[in-house]
Amino acid sequence: MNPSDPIAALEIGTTRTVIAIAEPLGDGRIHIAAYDGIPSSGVRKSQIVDVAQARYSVASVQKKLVTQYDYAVAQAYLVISGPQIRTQETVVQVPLPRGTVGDEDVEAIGERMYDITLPAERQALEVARLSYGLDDIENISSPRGMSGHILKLRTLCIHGSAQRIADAKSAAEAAKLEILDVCYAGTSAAAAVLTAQHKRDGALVIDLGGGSTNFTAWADGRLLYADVVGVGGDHVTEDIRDAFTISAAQAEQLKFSSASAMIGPDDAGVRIPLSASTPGFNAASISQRALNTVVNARMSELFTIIRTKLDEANLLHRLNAGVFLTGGGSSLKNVVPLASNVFGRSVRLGQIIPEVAGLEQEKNPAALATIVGTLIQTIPPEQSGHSFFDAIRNIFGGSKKK
Amino acid sequence: MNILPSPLLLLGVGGAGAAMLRGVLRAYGPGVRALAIDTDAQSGGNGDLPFLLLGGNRLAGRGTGGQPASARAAFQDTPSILDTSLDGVRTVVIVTALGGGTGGGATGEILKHLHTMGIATLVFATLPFSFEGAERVRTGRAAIGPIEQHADVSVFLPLDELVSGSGTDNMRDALSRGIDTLSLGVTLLWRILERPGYIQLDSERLRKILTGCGRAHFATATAQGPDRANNILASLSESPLLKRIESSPHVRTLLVGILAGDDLLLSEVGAIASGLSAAFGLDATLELGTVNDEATFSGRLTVVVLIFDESATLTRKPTPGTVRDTTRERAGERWLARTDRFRRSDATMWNDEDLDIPTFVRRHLTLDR
Repeated sequence: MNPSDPIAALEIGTTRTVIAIAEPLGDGRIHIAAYDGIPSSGVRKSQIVDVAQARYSVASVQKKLVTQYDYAVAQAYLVISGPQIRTQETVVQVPLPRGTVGDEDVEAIGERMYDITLPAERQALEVARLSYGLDDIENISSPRGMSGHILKLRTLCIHGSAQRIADAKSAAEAAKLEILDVCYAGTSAAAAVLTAQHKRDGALVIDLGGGSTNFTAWADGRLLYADVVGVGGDHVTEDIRDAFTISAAQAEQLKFSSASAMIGPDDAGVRIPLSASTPGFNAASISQRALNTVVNARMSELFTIIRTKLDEANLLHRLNAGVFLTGGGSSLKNVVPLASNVFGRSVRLGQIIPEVAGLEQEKNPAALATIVGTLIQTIPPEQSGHSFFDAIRNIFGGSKKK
Repeated sequence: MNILPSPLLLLGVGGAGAAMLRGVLRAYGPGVRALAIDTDAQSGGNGDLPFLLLGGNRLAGRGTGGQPASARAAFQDTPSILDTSLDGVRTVVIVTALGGGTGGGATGEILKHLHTMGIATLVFATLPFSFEGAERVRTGRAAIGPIEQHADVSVFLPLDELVSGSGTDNMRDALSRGIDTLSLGVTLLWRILERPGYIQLDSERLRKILTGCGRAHFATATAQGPDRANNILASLSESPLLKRIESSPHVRTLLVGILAGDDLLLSEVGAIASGLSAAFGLDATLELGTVNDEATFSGRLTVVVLIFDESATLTRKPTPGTVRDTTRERAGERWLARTDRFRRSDATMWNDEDLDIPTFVRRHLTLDR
């Protein structure tokens, strides 16, 4: 592999299918050379429900990249998300014949961390080290030099439905786009917005996607928790559509132009005129307060579910760097103060880490966090301090025209 | 000579369905086998069209009082009431209005019955104007689920979109134009079969196209003059009835009827076919039929398009006896009235609540109207 070869990532999201291309700059930095997308078809709640339609979307984006950016993409990494994602904690162990933990012992247990038994219908996406143990002592961050008889490693495996992943790969490969590997959207979003310091201090990254919301919690520099709620921006749109009996397009437009995640005292009595879909019947308007009530109810519930899960995992108190919002839903007005109220922590919109160039003109780069984070993670280990992947990635077999 | 009954029956369900049926027959002219069915005896009018009184014993011909459950029960009492009118019928086209009692309550039951008889069904159902009030809108939308479950093709037409006009149009003119538009869609099959032009679709081909297609959209456009084909394409692209198709990649099949007189040009057929293919994606299947009717369309060109989009595959009929989705049922009829958006995905459950149902509905929040 040539270290300067471009890398491509594909996300077949519920609302948009996007391909992004990055050029490695060395020292773990990348330049986003091109990205483009179209509204998705055949995807519901981050899952492919119609491979033919999804293939059409992928092929259409490929075509746009050729015509507008002169990139012909033949290989890509695939971002996977959705409520089919699950996690499983596993403990592996190795004996310590010398009675002291050495580098070779840490290496030996590192090799065993992938010995995970999953049901046949599940496919592992990532395996993260949670903590070490030594005999009866747990939660050791670095066991080197410590004495004991048995070295243990507690791991977190993020896995998805093999069928769902195969469907997404089939859609891409039917469009003649070879999938090199699959990445979990939650850790990808975190890779895009968290610095090493954030991960040490403790952070929660919530990626508000169109079909689902992925979130990961980090502390002591490690991934501690990952989960998905099968609720996304699509639900907000559908709620608005249901409440006001309007089209999906009108609801989507209202969501970002007029809706707020918070209900304010100034909302009372304010009416929002609806764009007329029918000449002659264009006097309709809706209540600002009602619109905000619908959106606030959905978003408050979503954040409360996430908070409950983190409470149960006893992690909330460890989020000293705060909460970072990414994904298309982070553009929703007043979503940050709402999240701040629910979590009782500092909340901010995720900012893409400085190692990524090329998104300076993007209005809300946090909306691209998953695909950008996937590109960051795929930089070969020798070039990046951020890679979670142990395997050497053989990237981007496609040709750049010219 | 044997005169076989038409394999197509046009059925108006409910009072508004019967009224729409009359409007369609006026617009089309003779030659349509038609029947109206309602719980209100007054819908039979002066005997100008065949009429069946539904629920005679239960409701005494006085209607349902806006209660769909009464109409549903009335048809369940006597499901064979239609059978004698179905001799030789292979396809039934239903026109009805949702929001009241009989159309919303009986249509689903009628469709279920026709399905057991192997009869293909195409439903055109109007949804109330938004100014008719939230309750009527909700009642109308609650009827969508049962219709979609049992119809081969269902077209739902919000009156806000069907009855268009300028702000100065009076109600009668606007409604009249709406009926004309509906008529073109409803009678498309008759025109294609009974007044065929140069490109023909036979009844079995049509039946095959329609079977199990699910939800559809339809639109019409008419133009005259030298550039009429391109003007039609421009009108279709602006049609409010097509606005609800979120993006063209969803479209699977288009059934296109080109209605014209003797002056139809080959280049016009080509322009319309290629224009629609380009607009809705080259992967979409285009089924084209032309109608040559010099008496009606002399100098005019009219295009009627039925569009089966992605949701087509969502709504195929379940095999009788399949396990019911109790998760969705528990949410109540309101969910069933909602769109297909989450229907094909697994329910998202949290503490025994279905998160696919709007939070404000589950929390019983009152919205400031």
